[in-house]
Amino acid sequence: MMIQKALHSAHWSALAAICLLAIPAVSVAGNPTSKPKMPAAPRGAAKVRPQFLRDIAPILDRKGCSTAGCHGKFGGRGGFQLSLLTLAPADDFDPIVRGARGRRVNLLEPDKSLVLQKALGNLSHAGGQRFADGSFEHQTIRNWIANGAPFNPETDAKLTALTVTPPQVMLPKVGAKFNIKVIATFSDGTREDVTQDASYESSDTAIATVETGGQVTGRRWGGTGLVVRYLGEVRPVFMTLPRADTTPYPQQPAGNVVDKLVLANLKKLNVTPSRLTSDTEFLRRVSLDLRGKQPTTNEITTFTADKAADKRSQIIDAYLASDDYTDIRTLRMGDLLRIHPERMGGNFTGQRSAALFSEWIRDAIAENRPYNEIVQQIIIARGSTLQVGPANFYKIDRAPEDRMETVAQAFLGQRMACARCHKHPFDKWSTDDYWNFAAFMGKVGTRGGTVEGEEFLVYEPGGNVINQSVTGKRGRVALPTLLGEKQPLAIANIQAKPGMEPDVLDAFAKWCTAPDNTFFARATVNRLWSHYLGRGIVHPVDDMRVTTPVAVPGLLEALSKELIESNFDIRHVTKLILNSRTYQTAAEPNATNTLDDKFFSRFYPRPMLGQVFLDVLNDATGSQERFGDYPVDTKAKQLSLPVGSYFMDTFGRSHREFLAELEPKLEPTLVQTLHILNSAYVNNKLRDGNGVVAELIKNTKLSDAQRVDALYLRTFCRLPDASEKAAVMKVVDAASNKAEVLQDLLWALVAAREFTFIS
Amino acid sequence: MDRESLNSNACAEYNQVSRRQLMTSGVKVGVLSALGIGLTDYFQMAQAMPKGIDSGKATSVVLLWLGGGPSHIDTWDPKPDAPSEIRGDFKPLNTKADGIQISEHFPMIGQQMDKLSLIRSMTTGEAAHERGTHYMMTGFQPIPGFGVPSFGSVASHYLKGKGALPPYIAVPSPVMYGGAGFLGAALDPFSPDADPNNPGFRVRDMDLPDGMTAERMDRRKSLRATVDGLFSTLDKASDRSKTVNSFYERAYGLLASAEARAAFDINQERPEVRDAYGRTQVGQSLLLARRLVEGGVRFVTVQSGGWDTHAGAFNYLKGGPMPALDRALATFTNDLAQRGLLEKTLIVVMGEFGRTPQINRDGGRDHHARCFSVALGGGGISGGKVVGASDARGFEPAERPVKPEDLSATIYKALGIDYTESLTSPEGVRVTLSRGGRHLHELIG
Repeated sequence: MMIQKALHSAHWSALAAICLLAIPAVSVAGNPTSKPKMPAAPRGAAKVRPQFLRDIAPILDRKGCSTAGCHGKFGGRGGFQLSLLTLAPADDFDPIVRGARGRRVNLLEPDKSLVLQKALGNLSHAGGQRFADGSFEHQTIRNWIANGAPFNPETDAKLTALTVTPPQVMLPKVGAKFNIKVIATFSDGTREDVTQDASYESSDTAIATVETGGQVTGRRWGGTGLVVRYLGEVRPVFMTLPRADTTPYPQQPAGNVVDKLVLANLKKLNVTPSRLTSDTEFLRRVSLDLRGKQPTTNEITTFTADKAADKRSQIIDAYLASDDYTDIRTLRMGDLLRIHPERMGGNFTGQRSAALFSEWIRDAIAENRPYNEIVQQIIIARGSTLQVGPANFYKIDRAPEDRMETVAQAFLGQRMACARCHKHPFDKWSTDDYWNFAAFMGKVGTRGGTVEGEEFLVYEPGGNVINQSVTGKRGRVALPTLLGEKQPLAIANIQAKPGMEPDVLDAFAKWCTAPDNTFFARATVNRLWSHYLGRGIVHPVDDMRVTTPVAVPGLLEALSKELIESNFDIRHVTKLILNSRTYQTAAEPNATNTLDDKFFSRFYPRPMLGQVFLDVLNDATGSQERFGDYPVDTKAKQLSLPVGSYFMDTFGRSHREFLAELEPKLEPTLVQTLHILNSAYVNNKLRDGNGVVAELIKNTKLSDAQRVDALYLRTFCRLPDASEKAAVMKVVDAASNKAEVLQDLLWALVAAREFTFIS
Repeated sequence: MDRESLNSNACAEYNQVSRRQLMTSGVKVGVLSALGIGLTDYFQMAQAMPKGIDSGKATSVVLLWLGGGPSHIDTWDPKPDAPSEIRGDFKPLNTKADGIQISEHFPMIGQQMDKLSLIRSMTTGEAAHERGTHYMMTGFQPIPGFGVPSFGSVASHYLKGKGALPPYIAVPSPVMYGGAGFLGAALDPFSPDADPNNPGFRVRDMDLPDGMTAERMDRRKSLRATVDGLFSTLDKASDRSKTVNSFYERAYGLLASAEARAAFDINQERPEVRDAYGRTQVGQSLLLARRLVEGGVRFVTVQSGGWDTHAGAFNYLKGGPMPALDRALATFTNDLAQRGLLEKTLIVVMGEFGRTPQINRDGGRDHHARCFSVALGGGGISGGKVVGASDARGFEPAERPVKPEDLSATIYKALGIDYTESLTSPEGVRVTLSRGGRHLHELIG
C-alpha cells in the first residue's frame, strides 16, 4: 500500500493535480436500469454496524474532506491524504486506520480518535468543524470505530449500480425547486436510498444551485447539468428553465432539419431567435467562413441585385466548390492534426514531412474524399515518410499513449489524459481503458530509411505497450481493446491476408471511423458546427463526456445521421449547416436573447484566424505581401509551412503544439491593439503607393463621397448608412489633404470591430 | 531569447528553440479559452480584491532567465576539491557573505552576496531545454495538451497592476513558457520586443509610426468611434468583441501616460549609470527592469541566453557571459538596495538546468538537471545564505533537495500569494499554484 502511494505520488507529479475537473461528468459503470429487487431502505439513524465503503467513505466526500483543497489534494493536508473526491474509496482505509502511527482512530477509546476530534472541531483543524457532535456522521464513524474499524476489501459490500432520478427536469420558473433521488445497489443485494449521502455539484451556479441532500433551485433561465457523485461513480441530471415572459411566442418559419431542432429548443426556453441577416451581412460571413476572404465589391453588387429566391444556397454551393474553401479546410485540418515542421523532426526533414502531409490533406479535401476514409488512411499509413503523406502523422507524437490521446481527442472527441494515471474523475474511463486503447498504437513500428531523415512506417505485430498507470494492471502488457469494450479485441477473428499476421491496426482504424461508431460521427459534426457557429453543440468540442450538457437536444444525432448517410461528405453537412436559418441569424440580440451564449438564438461574433485576418487586411488595403520564398501571389492561408510573422502570431495563429490548442488563441489583447494603432507594418499598408487609397485618389472622376463608399465596401462589405455617411463626410470635407484623411478613415475601418470580427 | 544566444557551442535543440523564439517572438499559448475566461472576467477580477492575498514583502519580481542552462559548478557552486575533470578552469572566490564561495569570474557579485542567497540543491530531472524551461517557469512539468500559466501570469492575475503600465513585462522578449496558458492572452507578458542595449531602442508599437502626427491619431480615434458605432448594438450581449474596445481604452491610456513612457525610456538614465550596469543586453535589460519596477510593474522577466555551453566552455564563459552577468547583476542588486527597492523586489536568477560535472571531450559540459543552483535575493528573502548542498562532485543534492514546486511556493509566498490556492481553467481543471511545494523557510518567514 505504501509503495503504491509512493508510486502514485511520483506519477502525479506530471498530471494528477490538474486532473481535478470541476466540470461534472458521468461514469456509466454499473447498470442504472436494472430492475429493483427490493424497495430501497430510506436513510434513518446511524447504523450500529457501519461498513467502511458503504457508510464511511461517502461521508469523506460529502463533508468535503477529500476535495482538492483539503485532504484530496496532492500530498494531502497535515500529512493526511485521501483519494481525490473519494474516487478510490478502498485506498482511503489505510491512511485513516494505519496512517499517523494509528492515532487517527483509537479502537480502545473511539471518542479520542483524531478523525472525530478534528472533524468535530474539538482539536485544531484547518478545515474547521465538518459535522456536529451527535450528528449522523459523528455517530456513524464512532460506531464504526467502536466495532474495531473493520474493512475487508474482499467481502464488504461494493457498489454495483447507481440510479439517479430524474435524468432531466424542466423547472417552471426562477426559484422553483426539485429533488434529486439517488438509489445505490450493493453486491450483497441490498438497495439503499443514498440521496442524503451523495455529493452534488452544479455546472453553472448562475442557472441552478444544488444543496446537500440533492435539492436543486433554478436561478435564471437557461440550461445546465448537475452532477451527482457517490463512491467514485458520477451521474448527470440535466435541467432547463424557460425565460419568464407571457408574450405569446412568435411563429417561426419552418427551416431545415437543423432549424427544427434549434427552434424547438429555443421555444422550450421561451427565447426568440434574432432577425435574419441582411444580404450583405450574410455574404461577408459566409465568404469569410468558407473562403477565408471577403467578397469583392463586384460580388457584393451582384449578390444584392440577384432576385433569385435560392441565391444564398447558390452562393454556398459556389464557395464550397472554390479552391479557397480547400485552402481553409486544409488549414483547419492542419491545426487539428498539429502538422508543423518542429513537431516532425525540425529542419529540412520536418519541413519536408509537414509539406508532404499538408499536400496530401489538401488533395483529399479537393477531391472531397469521404472523411472517414481520410482518417482511416492516416491511422493505417505505412511506408516512407518522404513519400507517403499520412505516414508523417506518427511523427507528430512518438509515444504510443500520446498517439492514442491524439486519435481519441482529434477524431473521437474524447480527452483521455486523466485516465493515464488514475480513473478519470468525471468520465467513465479507467486506467485499463486508457492503456488498453493505447495498446493499438504499440503496433506502429518505425524503421530507419535509406535517405537521411527518412523513416519507414511498418506494422509491428509484436509491438507492446506496458500499462503505466498507478493502479489497476500497472506494469502488465496492455491488451488492445476498443474504447468502451470490456473484452480485448479478438485478434483470432481478424481476417489476415495470406501469409500475413492479422492487422490489429487496420481493425482499429476501421472501428474508429465506422458509421456505427458514435464517437467519430458526433465528434466530427460537433467540430464542424463549432467552426461555423463559433461554439460546439457540446463544448469544448473535444471533450464530449456523457455528462456535458448538450445545447440542442437531438442536433448531434441529426447531423451525424446526415454525415453517415452522405458517406461522410463534409461538404454535404456543411451545406446543411450554412443553409439553416440558424447560421443565417444576425448577431444583433433582440429583447429576449442578450443572455444567450450557447443555444444559438443569435450569431456569436468571433475573430478570424491570424492567417485569414492578414489576407483580409491585405485585400482591404490593396497591399501585396510576399511570404518567405513562396510565389508572390501566395496567400497566408495557403502557407503549408509557417512563415515568421509577428502579425499572424499576434492575431492568433496556432503553433500546433498542444493537443487542446486545436484553435489558436483568438482573444483580443493589448499587443494587438498597439500593433494596429502604431505599427509601421499596418500603417504602410494604408499608405501603400499601389494601395486602395492611392488608387481612389488617382481616379479623379470619383467624388469624396464615392471614395468613402468604396472604402466601406472594401472593409465592412456594405455601404455606410445615412448617419454614418454624414458623420464621415464632415471629417473628410474638413480635411485639406484628402489622401491622408482617407488613410485615416481606412485605418478606422480596419480597426473597427465590424472588420476584425466575423459577425 | 536574446540575440546572443545562437551559439555555436549550443546544442541543436537549443538553437532550434532559440530560432523559433526569434522567429515568432511569441509565447507559447495553452488551451484556448473556448469557454472563455473572457476579458470581461479579467477586468472584473482586476477590480475585485483578489482572494488568497496576505501580506508579502515583495510587490514586484525580477526574474533573470539564463537561457541554455548555466553550469552550476562554474558559477554558484565551485568544487575546488574535485578532480580537474570536474573542477574546471575556474577558481573559487570568497565573497562578502561568510563561508560562501562563488566563481572567480563573479567578483562584483561577490561583493553583493550579503544581499543574495543560493539554492545549491535545485533538482528537476528534466534535462531537455523545453521541458526544463517549462518546469522552471511554471513550477509544473509539461502536461500534454494543457497550457499552464507561468509565475508572471499568475502573479499578475492576483496582484493588480499599478498605473498605465501592463503588470507583466518581458525584456527584451518573452521567455518560452512565460505565457499565461489557460489564464488567457490578457495575462501574457507585454514585451518591448527590442534590445534596450541598442542605441535606437524603442518599445515595439509604443511610438507613432513615421509620418504620423498626434492630430491625425486623434482624427483616427474619433473616426473609429464613428464607424464602430453600429457594432455597439451587440455590446448588450456579453460578447468578447466588447472587450476589444476596453483594450483600445487601455492602449490610449498607455500611450498618453507620461509615466509609462518614461519607464521605458532608458535614455533618461545618466551614462554613468548605464555604464555601471554594463553596455550589454543583460545589463541594459536589468536597468530597464529597475525602471519598470519603479513604475509599478509586478513581474519582469529578463532574458539572457548563451549558457548552453557544450563545447569550449571556459574561455567562452569568462570572455563574455560571466563578466556581463557579473557587472549587470551586481549593479542591479546594489542599485535596488540604494534606492530602497530591494526589500520590495524579489530577484530570481536561474536557467532551465545546470551542467554535467564531468567536462566532456569538447571542453564543455552537457545538460544536467539532477542538481543545480538558483540565486535569490530581495523581497523579504534573507541574503548571504545557502539552502541545500550538492555532493562533492556537484552531481546530486547532498542535502535538502529543492524542487521547482518549492521555488514557486517561495516566489508566491514572497508576493503574499497563498500558494495552496488553485486556479480553474476554462474546462474546469483546477490547478494548485504550487503542487505539493513548500516555501524555503530558511529564506523567508
